[in-house]
Amino acid sequence: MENLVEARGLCKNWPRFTLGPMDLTVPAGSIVGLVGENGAGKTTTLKLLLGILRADGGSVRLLGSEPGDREALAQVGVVFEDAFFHQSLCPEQIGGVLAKVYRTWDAPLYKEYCERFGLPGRQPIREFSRGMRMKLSLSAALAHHPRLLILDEATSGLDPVVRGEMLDLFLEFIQDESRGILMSTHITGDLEKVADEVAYLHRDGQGNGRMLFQRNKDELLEQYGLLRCSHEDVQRLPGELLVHLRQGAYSCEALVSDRAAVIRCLPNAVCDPASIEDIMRFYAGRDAE
Amino acid sequence: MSAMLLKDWYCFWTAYRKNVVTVVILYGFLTVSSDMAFLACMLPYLMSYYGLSCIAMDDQSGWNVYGRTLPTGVEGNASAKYVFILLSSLFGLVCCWGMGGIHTLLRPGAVDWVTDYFVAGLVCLLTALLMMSVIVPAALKYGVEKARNGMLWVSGAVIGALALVRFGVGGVFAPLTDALHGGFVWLNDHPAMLFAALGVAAAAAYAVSWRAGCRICREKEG
Repeated sequence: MENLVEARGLCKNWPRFTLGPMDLTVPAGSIVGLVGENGAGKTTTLKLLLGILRADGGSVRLLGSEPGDREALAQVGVVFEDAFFHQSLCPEQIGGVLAKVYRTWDAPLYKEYCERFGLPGRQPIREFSRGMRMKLSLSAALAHHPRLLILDEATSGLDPVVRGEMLDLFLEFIQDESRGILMSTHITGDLEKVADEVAYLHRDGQGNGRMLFQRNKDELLEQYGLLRCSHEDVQRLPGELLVHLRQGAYSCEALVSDRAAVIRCLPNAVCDPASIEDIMRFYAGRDAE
Repeated sequence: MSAMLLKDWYCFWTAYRKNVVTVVILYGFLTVSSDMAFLACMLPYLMSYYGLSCIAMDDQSGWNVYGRTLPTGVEGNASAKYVFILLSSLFGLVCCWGMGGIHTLLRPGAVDWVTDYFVAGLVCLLTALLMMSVIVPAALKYGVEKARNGMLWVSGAVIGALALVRFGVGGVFAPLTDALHGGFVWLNDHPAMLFAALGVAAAAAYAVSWRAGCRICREKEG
């Protein structure tokens, strides 16, 4: 399967923050969710992939080209949380500018998205709600028929109805298997609905960002488990299965890395599938300790 | 670059059209009613500053990030600023000459259109371009606020230095004052040379600045 994005050993160093080295891939036909704590380097990673920032090490291929390559960027649609056109502009003007930027700009499609999302063509963006602004960004990102969508917190701060509409749009987009989406988000519930793979960028104890894993979402959710049991039961578990343990007065709660093995070992214990949020919470708790 | 120029035009027009119309009408009225031709001659200079406002709007909207995700190249955005400043200051010059025409028609004999408007307006345009040649790369590198403040300090230092030379205690700077005075007298007697020198300097500085501005944008990270 072709990789739309392929990063190997990617790293970026600042005086007080180091990101990576990390590997990340976005296979064609898939939605990859990039999750991580605040300050773990999710936006930095996206900027490195797009060539907005220059990497200090490693390699990146974006649609088979170097980051920043114009031919590659022409096939990428991008939504950043806080970077778009100036708020004095209206959707019609933005469409007019982007029609000159992209050879493949589809003005009727852009208009169709704007109408579908209820975006008035001549109203300045500053009068839009946050949800409307994100819808406009997404309309602009989709209207040139990109192969790859890169979304930075595109659904954060939106109400569940709008988020649902956007997730539907992502699923619609990915129907064409030559396309792919890389989306960073804090809303892990969204990823559980639409993502094929989850990449977890973790802010470690030193405050640096490192990629803990990139895994198939279904396998991940099936493999990790949230164990609730007595202190005695935990003692009987092999240490390598425990990611992190939280001890209460009468029982304890633990994230385990192999749910099936834990159930074999402790048949009477409760071990539910862990959510992405559980996994993040426990990894963060482990490093905090 | 045409897309970025269109974007800058939309930004300027949506945010500043009322301001520009007010400035042109007010300056026109003051110029004609008070016989103060120099006010109209300030227009090329004032209009050139709207280009800086476009850079400020880019900074506010995070264009340094978003623009780099577009297949236009970052140089296109920098070039658009230089073209925009050139066009806006030319618009200022046309307004200045137009006001001069109206002034001459309404108050015959009060001003000389050629010297008070045509020549003075051109000098102001070239001076504005010289000034922008310094400010724009600084604004692209450090942001508009710092560039404007820096330019104010530099201008203050130059005026201060000239004042020091002019009023230097005990004639310390007398030879320099005499030389400068001689230079001004010579330029006054040879206006064509003044134009040529200023024109060449402005064109060269603007071209160098344009190139530097593109390079700054290319090397800057978002």
